[in-house]
Amino acid sequence: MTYKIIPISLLLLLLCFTSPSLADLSWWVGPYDRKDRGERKGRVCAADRYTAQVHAEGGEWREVEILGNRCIFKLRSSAAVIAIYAADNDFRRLPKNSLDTLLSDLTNPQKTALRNFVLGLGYTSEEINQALPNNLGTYTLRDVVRFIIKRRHNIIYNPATNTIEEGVEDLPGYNAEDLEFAVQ
Amino acid sequence: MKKLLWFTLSVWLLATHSWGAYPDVAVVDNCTRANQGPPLTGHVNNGGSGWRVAGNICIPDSAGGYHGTSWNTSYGPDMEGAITLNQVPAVGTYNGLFVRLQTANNSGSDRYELDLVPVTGANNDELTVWKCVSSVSTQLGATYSLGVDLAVSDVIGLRAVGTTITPFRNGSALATRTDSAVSGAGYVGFQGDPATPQTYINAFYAGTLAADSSSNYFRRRIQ
Repeated sequence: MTYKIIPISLLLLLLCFTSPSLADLSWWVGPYDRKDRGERKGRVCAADRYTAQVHAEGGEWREVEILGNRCIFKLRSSAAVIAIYAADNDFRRLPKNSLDTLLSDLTNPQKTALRNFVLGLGYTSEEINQALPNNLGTYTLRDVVRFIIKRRHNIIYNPATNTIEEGVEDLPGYNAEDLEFAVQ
Repeated sequence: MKKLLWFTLSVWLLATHSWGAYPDVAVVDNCTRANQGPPLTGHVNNGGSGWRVAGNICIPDSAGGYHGTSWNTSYGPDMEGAITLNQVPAVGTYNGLFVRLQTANNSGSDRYELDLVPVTGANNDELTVWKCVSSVSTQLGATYSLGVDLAVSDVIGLRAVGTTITPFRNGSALATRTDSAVSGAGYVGFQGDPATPQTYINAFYAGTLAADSSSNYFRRRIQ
């Protein structure tokens, strides 16, 4: 009996240490902010604007870059910090908190808005129709995130305009599950 | 009892994010020798006029430019670089430690980078991790606030194992980042800001993380 109780207790103890009880997990898409360092031309996912608030409460965020010179990030935070991101018009929160939740309760305008948002990242209607045919409500958030994350473009510095821009070279994207597990 | 031991060990292996000593590679240059350079013996310049030894300390060659140095031996791709600070650089300056630097004498070549960021006020200093590809640097993950200030004798480094990039300070991993943009073997280097005080260094660490090193051993266990 002791053999079973002690390991389970250890496991629960570990879970307590690794998962602060914050209100929500949420998924967002945002731009990159310019962040030069010395002579270096640099950028950072704009989620970093509110890192101090996130870390102050034991939260975390992690990102990967996607098409459109944007980043998708998963945030673990309180509702108060979610409200900070929501008040910033540069960020779009994706519907649902869990990747496994169906989008079936989205209204038609909400589904259209989500589709238009993905189109705005640089995907084509053909790509969306091929990957997510028919009603968007029959898919989960995981399906949408996997699609959004699946490819990206190279990033270049344009000295003529002193801007960091999206190139045209297609690069492989990332694994949605890696991002899912990076913040829990 | 045996079951309990195995279970506890398994839980520990799965739940622990980092293993092995930080750094897990040797000092390649302890800066202890007669004044010489630039370049430092065993190094090449990667920017400005490089670094030199002065009074058993490695220092940037002169003010007025971003001076960089790379230990001129390629390691990896699983590798690590670290430095021991002898002087903390000025607030607001750029100070980057490179690993997987693709060309030893070119600080603009592709690499992963750990930036030491002194910030005004007490206990506000930060670290940031970057991937630098095609002359554009992209910060990976959140700015990491140390909760203390950088200090003389701090050992600060960056480990790259596969796609896992781990900054560390004084023996402890701080956070991990995942990225695949710079995958090849490369060099360890450092470049600092010309503003004073500049970064002074007591020791450079560099090396390949061997397949049987603790960091790689445990990585194999969980992948």
